[in-house]
Amino acid sequence: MKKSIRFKIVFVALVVFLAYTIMLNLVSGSISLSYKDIIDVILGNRIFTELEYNILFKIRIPRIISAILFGIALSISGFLLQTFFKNPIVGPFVLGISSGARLFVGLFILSNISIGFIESPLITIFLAAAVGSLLSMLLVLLFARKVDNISILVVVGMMIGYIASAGTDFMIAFANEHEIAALVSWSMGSFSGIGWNVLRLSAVIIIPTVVLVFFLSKPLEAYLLGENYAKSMGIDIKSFRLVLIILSSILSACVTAFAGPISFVGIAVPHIARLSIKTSNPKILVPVLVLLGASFCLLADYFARTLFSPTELSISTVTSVMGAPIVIWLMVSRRKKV
Amino acid sequence: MSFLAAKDLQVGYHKRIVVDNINMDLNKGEILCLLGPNGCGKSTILKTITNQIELLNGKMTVMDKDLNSISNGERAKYMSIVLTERIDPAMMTAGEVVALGRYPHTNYFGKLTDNDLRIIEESLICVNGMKLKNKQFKYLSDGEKQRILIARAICQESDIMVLDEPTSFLDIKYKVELLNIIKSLALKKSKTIIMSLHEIELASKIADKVLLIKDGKIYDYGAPEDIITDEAIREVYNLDSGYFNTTIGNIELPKIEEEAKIFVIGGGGKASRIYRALNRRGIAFNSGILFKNDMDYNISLKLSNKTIAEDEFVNIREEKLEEAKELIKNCDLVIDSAVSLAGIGKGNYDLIQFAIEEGKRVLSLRKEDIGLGLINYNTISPMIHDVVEYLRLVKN
Repeated sequence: MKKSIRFKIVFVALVVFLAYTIMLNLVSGSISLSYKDIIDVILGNRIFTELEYNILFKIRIPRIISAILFGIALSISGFLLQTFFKNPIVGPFVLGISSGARLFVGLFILSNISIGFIESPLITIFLAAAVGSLLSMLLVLLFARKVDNISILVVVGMMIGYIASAGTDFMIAFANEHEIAALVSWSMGSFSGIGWNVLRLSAVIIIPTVVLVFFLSKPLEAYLLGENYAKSMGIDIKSFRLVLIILSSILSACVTAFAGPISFVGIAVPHIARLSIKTSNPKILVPVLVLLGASFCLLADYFARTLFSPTELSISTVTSVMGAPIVIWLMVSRRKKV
Repeated sequence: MSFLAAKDLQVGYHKRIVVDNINMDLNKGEILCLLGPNGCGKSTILKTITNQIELLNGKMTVMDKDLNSISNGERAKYMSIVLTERIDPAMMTAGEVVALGRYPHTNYFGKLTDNDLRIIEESLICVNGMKLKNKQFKYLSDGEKQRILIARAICQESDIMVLDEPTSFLDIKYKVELLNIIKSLALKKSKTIIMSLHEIELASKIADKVLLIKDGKIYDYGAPEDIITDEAIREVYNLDSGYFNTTIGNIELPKIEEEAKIFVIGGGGKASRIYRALNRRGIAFNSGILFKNDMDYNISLKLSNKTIAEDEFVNIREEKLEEAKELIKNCDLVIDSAVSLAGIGKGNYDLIQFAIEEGKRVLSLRKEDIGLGLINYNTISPMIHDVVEYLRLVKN
């Protein structure tokens, strides 16, 4: 099949799939709305009842937008890390970066530290998560220089994750009940209860970052040949690596700060994307990641809400079940090749 | 003024000097080969030249421009590289890998213009790789990968190409093909090429200049015909055992130091294989009567215990014949490599006749019957097999 035809087919399919998952999340839930109800409103044949309006605009639509934004952020973050480590098995969760962010967010929630000149607690939480992400990333990098075996690196990442979690648990032991409740529900990971103000901030952080990643397509592609070749083609490797780390940390920090740690999206989505589009060219891959990351999280959230309704699952429960088998399969098939 | 010049380069890692005092100057279209044993510092020199590690001291210039004072981007227009490290870009076709060579020339988004596409195609044709264009890079063979990486470097359109051991992992067909490509790049496109090679014999055939490196020191630098000598190779590579003939580019293992019980009548290049077959099985032998311009002579000198040789273009003289007869008397078997017995080689006919008269068995590869009662073989290996059998019987 000619490449350009494949690209078009995949793009159309992904757009349709995204639209489908959005609709799915719009209509399903404890109060069910039919497609017809919504289309009627759009066509102006009727107006929403107050209940319907509240459900849609205060619950479902913010939730859909957060799934879309955070799905995109996690996928791009994973993609950047995979490019950086030249390995498809890494992602923000696997390398312990999400846990580092969680530790720092926990620190801020529990200790009520506020940074003087920043008024908004949201920005404080985001900054705490960003610092946590960057610190654990630096820790991983420190080990990455010593070990070139990626399996060991993944184990190191998991250990960093455990240590960070232990730190969080340690703080919980000394916290009061009210704080614990806030932290525990946050650290389960969920797209629910995210308000418009959080979404606005997340969009301001995530959208420009993703656009920036897209504008780095050219060096990202050259980087696929390895650092030495990339350097020989004119890339300033040191600053490029730094940019990769910072961008991926910002993205995963934003997700962790506002939706909690969400596992496996960062690994699974880039891989499914590459498999479906059959190219590593970032100019094509990044838009695919955006579409697929959004639909992946929407679908996961749909399952989280509806599978055991009215009980809601944490989003990580669903993404783990969807993503972990992919990671295992990746590990095994890589081993075979070597 | 030379095109590319290096003055007193000092290379190494973290201030630890690996090779010191490197000087060279190359014109456009010249090929420089770095030769030396494993671990001598070849790679360190190339890594420094290609800016993968920092230059400790000294200066490298291209047309008087200091290569260390320019940015990676500008440098990319002067120099392209082909490395030994294996790359594994998932989901990339060979054509896409080659196209990346256009990196320094394309716009911010890496858009390929018609001109870029034409150059990519030309580069692929240059390495005979058009058929590989749409294949996944990671499924190519080592030789194909190497050719694609060279096409990528060609595509970069830099005047200098640096290749780190481009022939390793390749079998003989690809080696020859690759060196041909490199040679034509230098000749037709005036590329200045710096590369390291494992194969001494290939270096002297392709390089305009050679840098011989031993234990972190420059042993010699110059044209291969001047500096690649048997002695130099013996010293640089520490060849205590075995032997490398730089004239014919030939490697031999050490000779068998035992009393020789076999005499090989050789010449015309026909006996070299017999020498090696015997040497491989640990059988000592003498050989004669060879003319000194014969290829067998060079190899016999290294593998035979004694070599009886006659000057070029003269009839075999009586004294040489007597010497050979003396050796034949003391041997168990005579091997006749089917050398020409006519003209100045008549002496060897006398030798065979003498051996038969002495009651020696003469094993021969001769197709025609010369009426002396030789034991004939069509190929070498059954003959060597019988030699081994015979020697075992004699021993017991």
